[in-house]
Amino acid sequence: MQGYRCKNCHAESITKTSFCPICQSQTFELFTLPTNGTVYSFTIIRVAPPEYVDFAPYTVALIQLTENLRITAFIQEAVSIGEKVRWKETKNQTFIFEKAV
Amino acid sequence: MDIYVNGIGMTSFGKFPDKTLKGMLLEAAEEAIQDAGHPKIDAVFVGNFMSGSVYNQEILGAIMANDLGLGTIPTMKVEGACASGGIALRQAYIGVLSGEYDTVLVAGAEKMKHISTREVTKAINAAMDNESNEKHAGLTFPGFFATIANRYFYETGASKEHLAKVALKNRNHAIRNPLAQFRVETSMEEIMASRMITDPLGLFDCSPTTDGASAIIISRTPSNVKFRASAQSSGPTQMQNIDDLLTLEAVKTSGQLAYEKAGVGPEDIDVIEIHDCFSMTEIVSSESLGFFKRGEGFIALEEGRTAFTGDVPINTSGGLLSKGHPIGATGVAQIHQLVLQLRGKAPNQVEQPKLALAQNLGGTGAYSTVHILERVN
Repeated sequence: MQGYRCKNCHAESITKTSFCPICQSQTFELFTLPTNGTVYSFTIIRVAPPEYVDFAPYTVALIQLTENLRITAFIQEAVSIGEKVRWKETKNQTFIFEKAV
Repeated sequence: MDIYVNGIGMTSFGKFPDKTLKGMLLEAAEEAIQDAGHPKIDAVFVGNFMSGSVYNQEILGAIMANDLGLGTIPTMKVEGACASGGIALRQAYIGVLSGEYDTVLVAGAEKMKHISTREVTKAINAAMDNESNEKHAGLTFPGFFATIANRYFYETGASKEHLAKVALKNRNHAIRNPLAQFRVETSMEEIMASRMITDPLGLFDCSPTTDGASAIIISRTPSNVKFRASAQSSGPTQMQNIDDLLTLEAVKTSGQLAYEKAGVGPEDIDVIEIHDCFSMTEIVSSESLGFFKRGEGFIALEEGRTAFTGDVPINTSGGLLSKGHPIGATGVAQIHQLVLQLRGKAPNQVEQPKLALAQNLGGTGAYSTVHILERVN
């Protein structure tokens, strides 16, 4: 998984923007995100969109990856806030995490 | 320049298979025009979210000008997810403020009950950024607010019971609102036992799909309801880009802008309509608007302060949760309720309110408008 860092002011983001929201610069560099994180929050989706019906119930978690960065990921199992999780795989632009044992 | 609300109109909110989108728009608009004493209208702004995708009907602005018989005046449809109505109002307000228009008709409407749950859910999901890893993770609209709720509980010690109290309060308000969608008594037990949609949000924590329309006339002609402020802000379209999950940034910023323009603070507001698309949203937004400190909104709710009899009355209309949420109409319907309050004609009348605030949210906090109204006389 990769993040974007502004070459001018070093602001970091999970998602790409045309201009840096802090300094409006247009040059960015990619950097590798850590694969381990902590669950910041989550929900268990029971009424799922059509493409995900077969997976329900599943967890969508907001995961703290670095001090400033969080990422939204799919986790098949139930988790709690504060639990350690790790990246498992990326499929169709979906970040899939699992419990870190 | 002072801008006033001169007329209001609103259909019942609910399921109306025999009413058409055009029919509801005209019904609400005719009522507002009569209420305003039939002024000459210079422009029409219509708030609507999904008429194209689920009803195969666009050109709503032109339809209004033609079918109301308003002549060749300019019109437009405004889209900003669930804030479409509030943004239509803001654009109308700016039009009058600029001096370009004297009197403007603002209308909002949605037809949602004629299609399947699957179809309407798909249409609603257009209010999320579908080209994001977040959407691909299987996040849904209620899922976003549910994620906020779990963090809120973790940080504050609040629980699902507090969410249920929002739903119960708004249902009790709606029972006395003849235009509301849900007017049947419920209980904490029924709410807590209801079907889980996305943990921790159950059925009663989520606003319904609804057919309905509302309209208002604004102008430079004095009436006894005046605008003190109109403001709008944008917020993140993705949960992972949110700084503080317990603050709806767009709500906070639009609120601050409105208070600044009006020269008042939250403590000066007597009656409030907040966009309670989900029970959790009302609590967090009440904090982001400065009515309560961050993390303390649930305490005020528990103390009964946000019922119509309390000192910070929120959603005397029944809110989106029980009055209903015909998406494009909601922002306009909030103004309808507040004008009734300021005129002393509301079903859940607050005692002699002077200042009223309406906050309309779009998407997952991507849009927020705040309007502040004042009783003049």
